[in-house]
Amino acid sequence: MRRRGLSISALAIFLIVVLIIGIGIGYLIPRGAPTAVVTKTVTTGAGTTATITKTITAAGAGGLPSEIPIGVLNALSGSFGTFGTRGQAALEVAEKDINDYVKKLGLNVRFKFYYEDYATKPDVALQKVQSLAARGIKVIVGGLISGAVKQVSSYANTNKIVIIAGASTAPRESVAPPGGYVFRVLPPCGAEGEALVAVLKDKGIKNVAMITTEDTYSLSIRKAFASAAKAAGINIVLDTTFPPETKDFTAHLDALERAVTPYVQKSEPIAVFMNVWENHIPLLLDQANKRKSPLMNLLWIVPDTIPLSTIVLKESGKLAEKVKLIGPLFTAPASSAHRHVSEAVRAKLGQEPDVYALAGYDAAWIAALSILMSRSYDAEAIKNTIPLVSKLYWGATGNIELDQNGDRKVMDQELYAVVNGQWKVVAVYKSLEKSLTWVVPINVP
Amino acid sequence: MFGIGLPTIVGGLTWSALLSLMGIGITLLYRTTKVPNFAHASFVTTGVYASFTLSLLGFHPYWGILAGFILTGLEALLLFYSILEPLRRRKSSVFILMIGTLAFDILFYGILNIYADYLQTVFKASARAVYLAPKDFSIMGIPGIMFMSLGMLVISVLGLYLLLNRTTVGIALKACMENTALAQTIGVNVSLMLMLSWFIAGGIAGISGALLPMYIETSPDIGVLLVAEMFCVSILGGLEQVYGAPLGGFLMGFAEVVLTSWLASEVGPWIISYTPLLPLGAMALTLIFIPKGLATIKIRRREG
Repeated sequence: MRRRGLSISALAIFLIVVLIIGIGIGYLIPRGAPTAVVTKTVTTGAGTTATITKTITAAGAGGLPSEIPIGVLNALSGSFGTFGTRGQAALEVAEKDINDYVKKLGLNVRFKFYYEDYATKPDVALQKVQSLAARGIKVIVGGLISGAVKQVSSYANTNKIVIIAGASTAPRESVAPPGGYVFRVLPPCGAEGEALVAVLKDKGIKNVAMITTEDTYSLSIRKAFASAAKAAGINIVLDTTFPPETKDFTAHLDALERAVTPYVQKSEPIAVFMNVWENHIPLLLDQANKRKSPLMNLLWIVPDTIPLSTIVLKESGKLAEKVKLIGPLFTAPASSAHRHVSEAVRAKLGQEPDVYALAGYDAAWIAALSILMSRSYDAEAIKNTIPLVSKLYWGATGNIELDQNGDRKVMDQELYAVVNGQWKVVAVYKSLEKSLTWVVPINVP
Repeated sequence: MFGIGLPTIVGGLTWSALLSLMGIGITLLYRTTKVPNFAHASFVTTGVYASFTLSLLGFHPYWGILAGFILTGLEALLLFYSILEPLRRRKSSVFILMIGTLAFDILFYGILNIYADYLQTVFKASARAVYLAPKDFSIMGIPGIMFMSLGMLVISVLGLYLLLNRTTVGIALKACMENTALAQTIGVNVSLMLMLSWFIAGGIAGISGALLPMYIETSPDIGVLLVAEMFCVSILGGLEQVYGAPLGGFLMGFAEVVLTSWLASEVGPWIISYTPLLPLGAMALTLIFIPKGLATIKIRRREG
């Protein structure tokens, strides 16, 4: 008993001494980073021409942690995998550029990106967002597609997590409520439907058979295309859908052939809108080719999930060329920022970054600049700063002025087709002027 | 015929043969061990990656049939020796054995995912969307996969028939199927017989897996996606009837491909989206009206 009493007393004394020493050390250590005020007009990143003029209080004084975490979500596998891989490379470039930038400013902060793969699965995206949030991360950027944005938006709004998506273009109402914590640096897809309809009109095609994957994004493209087609007087002779897990397309090809055959027999021009994902195209092309389908003699138009797909090029490039597979992609104007990211991604992967990769790069910059400008790692403050930063910012995809919903206002599109075994820009669609200009003449089948 | 073209019939035959190959193993294992084997999903997926790996190494994917048979047979033995045999010796219930197969399947699902990532990283190949049909041959415009899948089905069924009826080992295996305790009493090495049935069942699942990417797009998830259909095929044919699976496979395959296409032309293409309901509906109806499976219909007539 005596021995036990002694040891408790000794422990208590030891704890008191440790506490006193701790208080002493705490008192002596300088609190926070230097409080100097930095006033600069800065040019962001290596070659990025965004100019933000702002008085920024150096880290510490403004309540910023010395290491600022940003979550990054990309689909490194699944039906958006080839785009996600390029997006990841662009985000790595962004992380380096942003840290070079804050170093140049003399700020005592460092941005740390936490990379996660959501495998093109919306439910996985939500799990990853929850996991990042559990680590205290309040800002997440990356190549989130519409299905993933839809899945995470409710959680993000409830838990005040800022999401800046670089690959979601479904109409706002189908993915997230307006004005919340979800921002998108590409415009909604209404313009894509218009661009595809412009191609059909230009080629004198007044009939189209359409097949759509049953997912948030594809269904919204279907709606946008149907609306634009109706306005242009184009007749949709078949409008069928299939679940994303479909593996055998025999019945779908039967249905498409039945729909187009009467028009083919009457020599009336008709096209096929394959509103699907990149992994479906090689299957559909291969199966249609093997059964000597009349579909192989028609023009195939595709959504923006297809152009620049390496899977399509590698596995069915020749067949894609045969049907003159044409699809739109939002285009980033030429600029030093665009050139810089392109060179850096090419150096990493040997591939040209697509617009989603460039948009991911811009999303990271907008996130970082908004955090710096709001002078705190507070989600609400960052969310309120993003519209202003976006308006001032000029990055790899140009200026990203947002509308009242939190989506980019406008962007032109390029139409891609496989020409001589490579994806080539064959036409440009100006969204504001609603004009289509062919760059490479394409003779439709 | 009913507005159905040759490509649709070819598709129906191919899919039927593939489903039959997947179902045979489940029936064989249920017949010998009374265990519904959920690891069949990963057996099929292993076959997929056997042919994919060989194609990456420059071999024709059809070499994967042999590789798939051996690899998946060995995988089945691993399951048998690591989980099932120890549990069987402890007199575990069928339910526990079934959970054991499920646990093994989950483990292998993870391993196959890691392997797919490895192939993606090392070979820069789209290992999560495996489609090898462009490498297929054709005879008079008909894809080779139809001949190969039907051929493999015939070889598997014939081989199984000869083994069970024309060899001593097969007769011992049949004895185990009928009454394990009695077979043990008359000196049959039950453990060896069970091992043999697991190897054969796994091997046939591997063959079906090796053929799959020549017809549809596959991924590490393919076994999980198809496992319900595999059981449907087996239940439709009759879980107790070793040769029943092809009956179930052809009914299911034609329903999914040919019937769906015909219904789409008659009712409307919207019906195609409901194709996944067919296997579950067919299984439910079979369990209600022919609980012992299609293969028992003739037998019952004879008895009557």
